[in-house]
Amino acid sequence: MPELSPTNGVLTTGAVRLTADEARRRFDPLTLPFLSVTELADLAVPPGQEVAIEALQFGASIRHADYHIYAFAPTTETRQGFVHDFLAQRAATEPAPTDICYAHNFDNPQCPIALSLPAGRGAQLRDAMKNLVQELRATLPAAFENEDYRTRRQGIDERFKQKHEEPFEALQQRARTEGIAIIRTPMGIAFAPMRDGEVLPSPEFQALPEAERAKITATIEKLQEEMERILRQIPVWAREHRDEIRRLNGEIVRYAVAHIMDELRSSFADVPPVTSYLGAVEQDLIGNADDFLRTDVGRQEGELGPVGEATGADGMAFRRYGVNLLVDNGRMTGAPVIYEDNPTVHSLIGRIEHIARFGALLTDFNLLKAGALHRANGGYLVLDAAKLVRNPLAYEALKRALRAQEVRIQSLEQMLSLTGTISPDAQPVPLRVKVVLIGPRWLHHALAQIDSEFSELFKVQVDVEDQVDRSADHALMVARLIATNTRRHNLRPLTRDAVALVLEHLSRQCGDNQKFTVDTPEIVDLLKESDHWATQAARTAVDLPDVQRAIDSRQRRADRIYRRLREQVRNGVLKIETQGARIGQVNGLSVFTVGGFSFGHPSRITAQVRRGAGGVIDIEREVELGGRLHSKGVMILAGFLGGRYIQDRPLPLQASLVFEQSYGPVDGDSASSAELFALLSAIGQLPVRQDLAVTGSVDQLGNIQAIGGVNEKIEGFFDVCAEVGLTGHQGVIIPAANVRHLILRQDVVKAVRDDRFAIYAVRTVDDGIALLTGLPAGIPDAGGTYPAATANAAVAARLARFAKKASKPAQKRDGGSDDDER
Amino acid sequence: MTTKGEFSLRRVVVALDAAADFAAAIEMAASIAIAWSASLRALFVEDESLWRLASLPYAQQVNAITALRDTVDEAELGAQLKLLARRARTDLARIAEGHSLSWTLERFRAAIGPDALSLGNDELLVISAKSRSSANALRLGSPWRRVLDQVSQPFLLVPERPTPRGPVAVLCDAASGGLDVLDASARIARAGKRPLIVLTPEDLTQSQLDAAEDLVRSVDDHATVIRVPAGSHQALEKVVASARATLLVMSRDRLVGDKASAPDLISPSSALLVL
Repeated sequence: MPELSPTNGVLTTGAVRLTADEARRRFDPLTLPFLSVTELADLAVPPGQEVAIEALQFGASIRHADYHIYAFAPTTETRQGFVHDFLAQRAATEPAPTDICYAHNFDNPQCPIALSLPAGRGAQLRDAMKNLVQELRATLPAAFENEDYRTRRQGIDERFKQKHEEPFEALQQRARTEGIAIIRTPMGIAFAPMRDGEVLPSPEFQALPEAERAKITATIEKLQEEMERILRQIPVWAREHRDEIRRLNGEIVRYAVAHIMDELRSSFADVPPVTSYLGAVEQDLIGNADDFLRTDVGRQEGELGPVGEATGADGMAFRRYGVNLLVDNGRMTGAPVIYEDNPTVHSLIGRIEHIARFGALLTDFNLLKAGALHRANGGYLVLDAAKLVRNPLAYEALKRALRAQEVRIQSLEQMLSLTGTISPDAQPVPLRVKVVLIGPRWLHHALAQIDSEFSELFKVQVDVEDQVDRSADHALMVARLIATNTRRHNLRPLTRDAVALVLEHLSRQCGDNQKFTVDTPEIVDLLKESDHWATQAARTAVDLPDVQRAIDSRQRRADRIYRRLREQVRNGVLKIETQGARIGQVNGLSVFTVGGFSFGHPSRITAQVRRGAGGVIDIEREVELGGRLHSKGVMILAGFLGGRYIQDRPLPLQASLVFEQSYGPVDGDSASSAELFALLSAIGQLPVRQDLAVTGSVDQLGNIQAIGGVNEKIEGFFDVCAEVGLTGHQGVIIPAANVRHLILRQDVVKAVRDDRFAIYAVRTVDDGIALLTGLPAGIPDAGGTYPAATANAAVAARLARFAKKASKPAQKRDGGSDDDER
Repeated sequence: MTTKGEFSLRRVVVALDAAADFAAAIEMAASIAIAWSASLRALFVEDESLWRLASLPYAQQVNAITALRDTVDEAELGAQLKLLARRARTDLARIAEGHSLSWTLERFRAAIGPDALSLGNDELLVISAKSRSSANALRLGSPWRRVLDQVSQPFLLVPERPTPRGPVAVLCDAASGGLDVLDASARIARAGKRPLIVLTPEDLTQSQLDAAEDLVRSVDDHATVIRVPAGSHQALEKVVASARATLLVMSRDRLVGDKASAPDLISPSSALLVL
């Protein structure tokens, strides 16, 4: 075992044993200039967001339709967080947008017209039209009950009745005079000779003189011609009759509605499209007054009448005078900020609803429903980018609307041309909206790569910073952020000590003791949980124990698998040695993430070597469990070995590396240093300390490089050692570059302080091998020869023997002299 | 003074022929028969004049729909009459289904007139006021109309567009209307859950009026009483129209002029029942 220097911790090997302070960079509460967050003012924007804010301001203010925003931010930012807050604050200073209404198109009923009115006027128009119908339903029947109307109507009816009857009566009279009977047959009217009021039987007719028969026949012929003429005139008279009645009705209606329509037009004189619409309404009322004179018993208010039925008290006839207030901004005090949680096609562009009636699905403009784009028109629409692309056709529909700068309500069938059913082809609504997509970076990059339209429409990137430098200024700003959120979410205030612990936790969350995470949702969650524990403890303010309990209980709730793994180590199911020394075996460290909880755990990495020319075999890769990065790390090892020990010939070695008892995928190169130490141990037959675990990647020159998850890895090995008993010799070797990331659990820090656990920082392979084997690594002389009794010398000597054997022809196949070289 | 009694009805006779549009007449006749538990006798008369016409050489008719001429022959006429009779039978069977209505349909060849009907006592004659097809526009009405002034039995004239619902209006007076008219009207109103409107002529004396109102209360407490000008069909028609009544009931002696003018009393949706 190498001895450590008791004073400065520097090994002869170059490895540095870290102090407890280095294991967790504490945040001194006394540096915070307050006792409670109640003393702190609100902070709307987390620290470090200067660039993001600038981008947001740019994106929100630039008034070009193709400058929409993609914010790299957590999904929760859509509902809370500074992006949301920024948009809300900005929107509050902007004017409320117009109301959007749909109304019947009297020129083209299939294409409802869209009307934009100043905010609040849409509801006025809707109510006014509703009142108009109610008013007319009361006044028009009364107008038609009027004695004057009835007299005029009766006059028309009488005139046309006479028009019908007079020619026929004349014909009847003429026939009677000529002795001809008029007979109604099943299909029409016939003429026959008559005698004594009865039709002349055929034999008697045949018995008449020829001249008389001819005369009768000629008379009948003339009567038939006249009858034909009369019958042909009947439809003409009927039409003339209808037209005259319609004209009379129109006159009555015009008089009855004129004053109402004048009032309406006057009320909406400032909205020309509405006055134009009202003109069309008046013309339609005049032409269809009959609708108001008929009633359908039993129909409910607002119920749809059957298709083709032009009448009905509340049926289709009156629905066409309704106004569908699609978006009512009457109560808005600023521009809208709409968050659509479920961005489907129809929740974005609106939908056409139907009513089932008599087995058919019916619809009209009254059943058009607004989408998020309608509601956000004139303001901001915030969408979760991942949800948007997950919903079929939603992304395409959004782009289509943004490109066209208008939103058109269409059914899915219309969009895909699936059916030919008649649906309203609603006039599109001009669109002036700023869309803010919030999503991960990878999705932005993917969309930018595969969809050129994306980059054309979403030109503004807002890169929300999720961590800031751990400075005093930033610490105070984060404290204000905490204060803001305690107030916003009605939580107990935090003491200074509690804030300090939250700050340390935020450093831990970003895996860097030189930084704080400023992920607002994460902070809010911790505050809520701490508040809960403070409530349980009957405290009026959240104190340090509450925050610690929130952190611990959160881990406790998620670490079932982690505990099971430790249990399996304790039971010997998972073989991890934490004492003694082994040749070709090193404790490597891996990080697992299960359900958002990450934890570290040691794995035994073993190496076997023999003479050969196969280089280093990565068993994980051979069985397709090793990822590309892991394979890269293993190949680097071969490069290191060849470069350091056998430069003038091929590597005379066949080595295999494996993660023992590992049954899942292995990736990353953070175990490459551990693999190298196992390999060097196996080649040089050097026993390696099992009370140390190793993490760090290695390059071909033997430098140990930083890795991720260093805190979880150290804690993982610490927990395993604690499970079987801390000896005071156990520890973890980490890359020196990772020291800045250390912010370990309190119990680990205490063990380090009490010299019951060690953390060594190394810069090179030589630092590590010396620490693991207890031998100096050894520096080669000018001729490249390593000094005796060094780790490198042992490795070099073994490889040289392999090389020597490889250069000789095989003489004995059954001897045992090669055995020691295998 | 008032004759106390009850309007009795043993059988409803609906007169059908090739010229009248009879579907509505059958329906109304059946509903009255059901209300009175009377039987229904449908007479489909093949007008003798039609057959004589068809036997004439080169007999022609002017088609009422197309206004074009076509020939009339006996075979074609027979087929059409048979078809119409079958339709009448189908209508009767459909309406009678679900009701305990005893009905018969007789099809025979005769001259349209009272003799063809052979009406008995306690029988109601129902005829359609509507001609078939567009001949209706010529206000020809049913050929049966001409028998109305030749029969003494009560009759029901079914309008062009009958409405099975709506108020029942009855022209009533204490002196001559009698309880029969009022009672029959109330019975029809009750059967169809329809409001009853009693029209009392303005020429009634106060005592007659009081007596009439007593009569009304005796049959229907909720009836509405409206005074109407006496002796004017036009005034009566207006009142019926404004009350939206769909059936007017009156006694025979309140008819002005001959019964053939009765259809003038009714609107296209108001039936006329003369007792």
